[in-house]
This record gives sequence, C-alpha cells and structure tokens, in this order.
Amino acid sequence: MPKVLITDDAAFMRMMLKDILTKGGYEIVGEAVNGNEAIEKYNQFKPDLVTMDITMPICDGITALKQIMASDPAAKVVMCSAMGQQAMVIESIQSGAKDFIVKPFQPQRVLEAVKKLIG
Amino acid sequence: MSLEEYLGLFIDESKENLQVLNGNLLKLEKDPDNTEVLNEIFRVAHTFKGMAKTMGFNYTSDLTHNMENLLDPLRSGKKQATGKVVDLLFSCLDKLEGLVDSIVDKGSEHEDTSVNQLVKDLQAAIDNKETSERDTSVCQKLEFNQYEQIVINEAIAQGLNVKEVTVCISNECVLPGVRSYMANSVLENMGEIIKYQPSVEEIESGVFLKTKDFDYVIKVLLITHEPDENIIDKIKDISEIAEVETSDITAETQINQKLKENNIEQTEEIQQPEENKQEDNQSQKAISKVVNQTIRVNAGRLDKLMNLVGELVINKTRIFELSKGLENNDLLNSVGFMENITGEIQEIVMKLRMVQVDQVFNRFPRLVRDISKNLKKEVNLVIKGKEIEIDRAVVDEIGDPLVHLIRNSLDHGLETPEERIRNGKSAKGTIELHALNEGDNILIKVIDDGKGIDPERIKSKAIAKGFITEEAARSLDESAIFNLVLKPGFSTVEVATDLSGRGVGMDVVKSKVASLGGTVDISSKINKGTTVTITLPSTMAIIQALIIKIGEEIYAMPLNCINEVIDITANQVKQIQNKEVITVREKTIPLIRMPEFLETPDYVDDPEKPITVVIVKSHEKYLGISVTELIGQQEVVIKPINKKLCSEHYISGATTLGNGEVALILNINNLV
Repeated sequence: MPKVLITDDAAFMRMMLKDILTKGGYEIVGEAVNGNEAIEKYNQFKPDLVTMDITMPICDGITALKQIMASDPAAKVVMCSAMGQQAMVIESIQSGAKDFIVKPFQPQRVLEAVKKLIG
Repeated sequence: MSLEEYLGLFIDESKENLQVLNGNLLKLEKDPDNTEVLNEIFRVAHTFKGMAKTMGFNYTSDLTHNMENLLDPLRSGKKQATGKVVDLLFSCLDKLEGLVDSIVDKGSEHEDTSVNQLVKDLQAAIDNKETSERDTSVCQKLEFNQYEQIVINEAIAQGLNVKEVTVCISNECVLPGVRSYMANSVLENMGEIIKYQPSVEEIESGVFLKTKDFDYVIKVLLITHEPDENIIDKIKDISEIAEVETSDITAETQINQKLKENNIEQTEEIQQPEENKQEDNQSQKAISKVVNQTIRVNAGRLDKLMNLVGELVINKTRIFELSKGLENNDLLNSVGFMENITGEIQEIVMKLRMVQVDQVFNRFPRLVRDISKNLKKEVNLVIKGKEIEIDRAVVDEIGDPLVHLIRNSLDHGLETPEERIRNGKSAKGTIELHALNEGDNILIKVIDDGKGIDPERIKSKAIAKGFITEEAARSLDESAIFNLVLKPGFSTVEVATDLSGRGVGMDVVKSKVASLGGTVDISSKINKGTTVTITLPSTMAIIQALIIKIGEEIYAMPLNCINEVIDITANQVKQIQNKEVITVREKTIPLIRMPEFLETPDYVDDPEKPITVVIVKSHEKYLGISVTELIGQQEVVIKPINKKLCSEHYISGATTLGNGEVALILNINNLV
C-alpha cells in the first residue's frame, strides 16, 4: 500500500485528508503539524507522497517543500492551498511540487491527484 | 440576535437601493455605454444580493444574483446594453419592488414563481451574449506579428515543427492560473514557446480564452521536435486538464494586418475590468463619505420626540402664564430664556422631520418614461427644486395626487408629436415638476406645455352636469372656471383611458391635498399648457391657531385660513334659499352657527347679543362661522385623533392648551 504523510496545522483538515486517503486505499504513515515536523517525518518514514499545507506556523509549507526537495529530488509533494493563494502555489510548483489540491477538499479531486502521482 | 431586528434596516436600505437602481437605469437607457452608471447598477444589485441572502430572502437574492451575471459583461464592455436589456432590467426592478413590498407587508417574500421566469430571461440574455462572445474569442486562430512570422518561417526552414497548442482546463478548477502555469512549464521543456495567449500576466490576473464548453482556455505557439502524442500526453498528466489540441502551423501563414489590429483591440478590452475596479472603489469611497454624514433614525422615535416637544411647549406656555402672576423678575427672566430654548428645540425637531421632496419626485422619471412610451408621446420631464424640504407626513401622502396630476398632463395635456408639430410646437412636450418655498407654504407645480383647458368646454360641461346654473357660469372668472374641474364627478374626457379620465381624478387630488391642509389651483391657456399648483403648509405638527369658544367648549382654528373676524347684529343675517347668509363688503357669505352645528350642550341663543363671526377662506370660497367667544391666538401642537372616535370629518385633530385643557381643531377645508 502506498504510504502518505499528511502535513497540516489544523487537526480537522488532517482528519479529513486521512479519511479520504484511507478510504482510497492509501496508508497514512504519519501526520505533521508544521513544516519542521514534515521534514523530520519525511526523512523518518520515506513516504511515497506528502500532502503539504502552505500556511502553517513555525515552518511554512513552501520552506518545508524546498528542504524536502533538496534532500530528495524525487520526492512527490502535493500542496494544499486555499483559494486566492495562486502566487504561492506557483512558487511551490516552481520549487518542485508535483500538484496541488484546493480547500475545501473534494475527495474525488484529492484521490485523482494522488493517484496520478503514485497510482 | 435574530434577523428580524435587521428587517427594518433591510427594508430602508432596499428602498434606497431601488431608487438608486431606478435612477441609474433611466440614465443607462439614455447613455448605454456609461460604465459609471453600469458600475453603480452592478453595485446596487450586488449589495441587494448580499443583504437578501443574509436575510434568507431567496427570490430576491436569486434575482439579483442573475442580474449581476448579466451586468458584469455589460460593465466590462463585452456586451451592449441594448433597449431589450434595459427593459429586462426594468422588469427586474419592478419585481424587486414587488418582493420588497411583500417583505414590508408580511416580513417575508411572497411565493413568486414569476421570478423564475425573469431569471430565465436573464440567463437567456447572458447566454445569448456568451455564445457570440465565445464564437469570436476562441475559434479564431492565433495571429502573428511580423517578428513572430519571421521566427516561424525560420523554424520551419530548419525542419522544426511549429504547433499551436490549445489547452482546456476543467471548469471546476479553482486555480486555473496555476494549471496553465504548469502546462506552460511542461511545454517550455519540450521546445520554445514564441507566443502565449492570453499573455502570462493576463493568465495570472485570471484572464482566459473561452470556448463553448470551457471557461479556461490557453493557446501557445510552440517550436518543437516532439510529436503531437507526446505533447498531449505530457499535458494531460497534469491534473484538471480537460482537453489538449495541437495543430501545425505552416510557413504560408500570412501576416494579416487586420487581424493584428483585432489583437490590439482585444488586449485593450482585457485591461478594462481593472479600470472598472478602480472606479468602483472610488465610487464606493464616495458613498461611504456621504453615509458618514447622516444617521438613520427610526421614524417612530422621531414622532415620539415630536410629541414630547409638543408637551414641552404646552408646559412652557403654562409656566409662562403662571409666572406672570407671581411678578418675580428672576423667574420671568428664566422663563423667558426657557421659552427661547424650547422655541429652538421645536424648530430643530421640525427640521428633523423634514425630508427632501426628491423622495417623492424621484419616482416620476420612471413613471413618465413608462406612460409616454405607452402613449407614444415624446416628453421631457424637468424637475426643479427637488432639494426643497417638506414634512415627512406630507411626503408620504402627496405622492398619489402628484402621480394623478402627471398622468393627467401626459394623457390629456400633452398632444401627440404630430399634433404638436401641426400647432407649431416642438415634437417633444415638456412636463415640469417644480417645488418652491413661498413664505410658510410649499408650492408644488405640475406644468405642461400641452393643449391647455378650454374654459368654455368646462363651463358647458359644468352646466350640463348641474354643478352651476348658466347664469352663475357667466359671472365666473377664468380661474373659478378651471377650479370647477376639482368638483367631484367632473371629467371632461368622454372616453376613459387606462390612465385617467374616469371622473374620479381631480376631486380626489383636491380632498387629499385638503386633508394635508393644502389647496389646489389650476390655471391654463389654450395651446400653451396647464399649470396645477398645490399649496401645502411646510410643517404640519405645530400651527398657529385661533382659540375660540363655541358654547362652553373650546376649539382651535388654524390661523392660516382665517380671513377676518367681525361682530354682526342678529338682523344682519339674511335668508337665501333657506340658508343663512351675511353680507360683508357687498359679498354674500354663507353663515354656519357653530353652536347649533356642533350641538354644543347648554347653549342658549341670545338674539340681543351681537354675533361674533370668524370669516374663513378655503379654495377662494368664504364662510362665516359664528362663535361664542374669542380666546386668543396660540401655537398649538396637532395630535391626531383616532378616526373611530371621531366620525366627524370637520375635526382634524386635537391639542392640549396651556392650562391643560383639550381643544378640538376644526378642519376648515371640510367645513367650506
């Protein structure tokens, strides 16, 4: 089962993503509440895919994305953005994010994006 | 907080917005390209939508939402505000008015399925535009300027492929800008992009091409080695990409000057929305400035304040009277000071109750538009003095009479354009609505330059209807003849039209105005036009009155209708046709003996005593009223009496006097 790491500072969002992905047949190997934790857990679990919230306290998603990409250029990171964060999403894509999903999450869209990357 | 608490504010603001909408739609009709007006209309629809949605008024919000959808392409210049569109917007306005009215009546919208029809019409109007817009904006191929053409030719000469790639992003995509960025990145990796349409900057600000099925479409011109399948596959790898098409560009593609110009035009169009946004902001700023200068006050509170000030005036008068007896100078001084202050407070409260007549006038441009369209007459409505202020109570009441007068002018006064030209006038008639101050009175004039009223026709009609005898008719002067029109049941138009001429018109106007303490006057010149003048007291709540005694009862009479007061002896009273009259300076005036008329108790007639007669005047007619005793002149505060308690229409209200006694106020207009 493909392994996924979920990164979001809101427990509600993490729960939602976890639900969607678990039902879609993915294993959630970890949950991170900020960028630092995401980097740490990425190195620890080596997941097949990371969902990365953009706005988070302590270390934001784009910073975390850049560090993950630096340590593993093959990392597959999907950004989670809110509407109106176009510039930040573009920066993420430029920094190596493979795709993005927009809140509020639609299960179908989330699974579609994940499936495209890790099957 | 429950939403009901906001209902009053919602209604007030909605009515204001409806008026703004009305005014701007009229402007739009004259000047369909005025983006400022369109922006204002859009803003109103938008505000309306927000408020209605919050309040849960679904029909209203649904309707305004669809209006917004139609207005958006209008204000960005993508669609023309044709007559049909304006008419549609007018019907939306009417519907909104209906919905708001039902909210006023019941606190909720009535079930109105006709809203759905309007929504459909709106959507049809929008779609109509969108299909045509899509036809023009997408199906055309990319155009190239001279430089681009050279690059294309060179690339082809080098054996490279030049492809036009069309990427359609799914309509559900929330950030199409990012998707097109991703698509462009993929394409850049496969070759050289020599043209983006829309430009990268435009894409970032949310501008896309459209097709029948897709809202977010981009085109690029790519020089590449890659076969089509590779290009399509790689782009389709990106999420939310619905469709990808490629087509080969050949060297024969000619520079087409005309197309190039088109291209420039298109970019200009695209820039427009941003300018509009700025204007929008500015107008919103201007509005908030105005709002800051006024506050909304519940009308009920204002009425209560008015009442309290009334009480204050009464008690001030009382204290003043009491202090006179005490001969204490300090007391007299402070009472005098108090009198000044109460006077000022009263004046301010009066002013608070005043509203601009514009509140009544602003509905007339629309009325005139509709009626004149209906009658196929050309009319220029001129409104003057809309800033004149008038008591709120009057404003609420004067609308209907004015509507009637304006309809009359349009229907009977103004001629058809052909007739006007035959009579040597301009084809377009003029109706002037004119408010002005005259002393304590406010005059509202409705002036038309139509065919005028023929006094002879009125005379013969009045005689035929038995209003006057032939003999009496001969002695009437012109103004008296015109004022015959105000008699109940008088109508000179044989065929009643939809609008006016049912014979229930002018007398209703007259009685309505009279109930407001005003008068109506008509003057007219054949082939020059007719002027109807309504004279109204500027304030209603506090008046100068003559306090009189009838029998043992105290009454008040408004001073402004009193002509003079005389003493007569009993033998000066004559009988004509069983009615008592008196002769004053060769004028015969009917006499009413008030004690008998009002059936005051304990009244004994003393034939020896001279009779005090107050001569009152209303609508150019005089009436003598016999009273028992004159008490004096005083400012009185009119308080309405419950109609159920007072069936007699010759009492217009009650007032409390300085000594605490209650006096009834006589309605002179109805006595005459």
